[in-house]
Amino acid sequence: MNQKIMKMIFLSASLAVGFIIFTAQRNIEVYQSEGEVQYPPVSTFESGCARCHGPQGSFYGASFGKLPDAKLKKFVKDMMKGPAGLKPTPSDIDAMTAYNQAIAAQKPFVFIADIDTLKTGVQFSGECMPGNRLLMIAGKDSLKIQVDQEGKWQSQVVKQSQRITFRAGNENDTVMLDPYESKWTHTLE
Amino acid sequence: MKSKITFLFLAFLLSGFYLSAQETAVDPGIKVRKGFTLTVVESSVKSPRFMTFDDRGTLYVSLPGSGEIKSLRDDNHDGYYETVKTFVSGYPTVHGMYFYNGWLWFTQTGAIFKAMDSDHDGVADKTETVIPKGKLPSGGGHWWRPVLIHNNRLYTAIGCSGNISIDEGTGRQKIWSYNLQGGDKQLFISGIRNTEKLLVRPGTDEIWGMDHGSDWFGRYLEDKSDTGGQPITDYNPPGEMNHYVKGGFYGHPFIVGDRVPRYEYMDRPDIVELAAKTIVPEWSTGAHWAPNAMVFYTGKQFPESYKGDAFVAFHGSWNRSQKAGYCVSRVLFDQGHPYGELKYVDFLTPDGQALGRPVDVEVAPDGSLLISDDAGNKIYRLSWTGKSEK
Repeated sequence: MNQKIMKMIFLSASLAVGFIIFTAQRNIEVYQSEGEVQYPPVSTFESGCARCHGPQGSFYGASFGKLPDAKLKKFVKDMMKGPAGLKPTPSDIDAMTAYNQAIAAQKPFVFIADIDTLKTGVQFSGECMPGNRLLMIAGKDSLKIQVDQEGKWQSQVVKQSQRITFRAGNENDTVMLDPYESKWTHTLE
Repeated sequence: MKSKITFLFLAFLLSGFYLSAQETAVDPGIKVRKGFTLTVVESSVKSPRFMTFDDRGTLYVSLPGSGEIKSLRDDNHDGYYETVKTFVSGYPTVHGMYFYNGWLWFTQTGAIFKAMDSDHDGVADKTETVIPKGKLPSGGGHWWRPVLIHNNRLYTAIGCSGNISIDEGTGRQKIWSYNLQGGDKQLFISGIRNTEKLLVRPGTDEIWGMDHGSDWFGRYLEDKSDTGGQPITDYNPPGEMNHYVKGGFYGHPFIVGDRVPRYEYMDRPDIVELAAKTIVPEWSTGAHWAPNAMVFYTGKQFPESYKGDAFVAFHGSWNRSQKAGYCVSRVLFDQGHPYGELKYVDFLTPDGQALGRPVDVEVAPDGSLLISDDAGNKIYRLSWTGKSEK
């Protein structure tokens, strides 16, 4: 009987350790597969684009929202390499395009800049559109995240084994982001 | 006696803190033409764009990002604008300004207003809408809107929605005139890409302005390397100093510079006709230098020969292999036409570092020349300190 209990405890412990290792590897794989983003889109927009296009793209005209995705991506690439004087990677262009899609659709936007694996758990940091409300849903807990005036935020430390989702909202809409699936919200298909 | 010394010491320290907070130092890498001195006269406003003076010597500066116009005064006459107030706020994209008949007329990208400061406290106490939102095209790639009042007509414009977009039927790429109530709309000229300031040549009824040349000129021929069409784009097309003549066509988006077609449009059946009717620039500037604004020199401080010449603020290039522009130049005039150009303040270092991005130039009441820099968050003053003209 005691042996059976010991076996079950051993099996459970092995599964738990295996799960932790699995999720940790999963984080790293996803992070690497998306490539490095050198230019966080929200702060880069404010420092490199807002002087001409307004804070959070507020100077864009009404026609901006009608641009097809491919044309928008080309526009973003030209502007980042051109007037902004940056050397963007494909991931930078994708992230900035996503942010511009959010601006055009007047939707919220979340970007994960970093996932810190600590001894006590995991902590996320990133950017969202200034003025957005941001929640981190960790398991059954719904945790409010403070967003500063520039849109920067850092989450609480939570257990890594929990399912984590970010939910950002503005007066028009709400968007969800699984940080292990993507590092930013895509608001348009 | 001891308390007096302590007081003076503290006052000295505090004045040091005050001056350092104002950031009055001019970077030694900025080159200034011999006989002139450059000083900083304001460094607290963020991204200053256009400037104008009222009849009391108050300087107004537009800040499109924060949606404000600041009023600046140098009440203690030390050359620095120490009194800064918010003249109006809540006007994102506020840009062009013109002082006329006691009112400061000002633009947003899609609207025109006028405001008055009756009690001269630096804050507008009365604001009226001249042309409301919805009546003018707005936004787009070139959303900047100038305003000029001359002979009881208001002139305004908005540039190209993109680089070489065909904006037919939108009211863009044109200068329009209105009566001072915002009615009686009339087309003045067409074919401009981005003219951010309009002005009258002193002593005449001629309306002038700088126009930005288009980008990626060589891309039609070579886009594989993703370099923006170099090496052709590096030197084409020029920026333009234009004399805008009623009914005139100035080429954009089809024709650049001295009647040269853009490659993208050279197969149009009417391209020669478009070239033939294009009024060529009075003066062509460096390619991609981004000539944002000009002013005719009317002051008494500079030597006599400067009167009637123009100063031009170049915001600087991005569409070139090597940076260019980032300067203020003097365009010399003879018999009402430009004939030469000299750099007076150069913000570009030999190793390609831009120490400032000039936006506007304006003649101050004392005859010095003010220069706004929206990247360095400064307003500079160029003063004549030479002994005699050489």
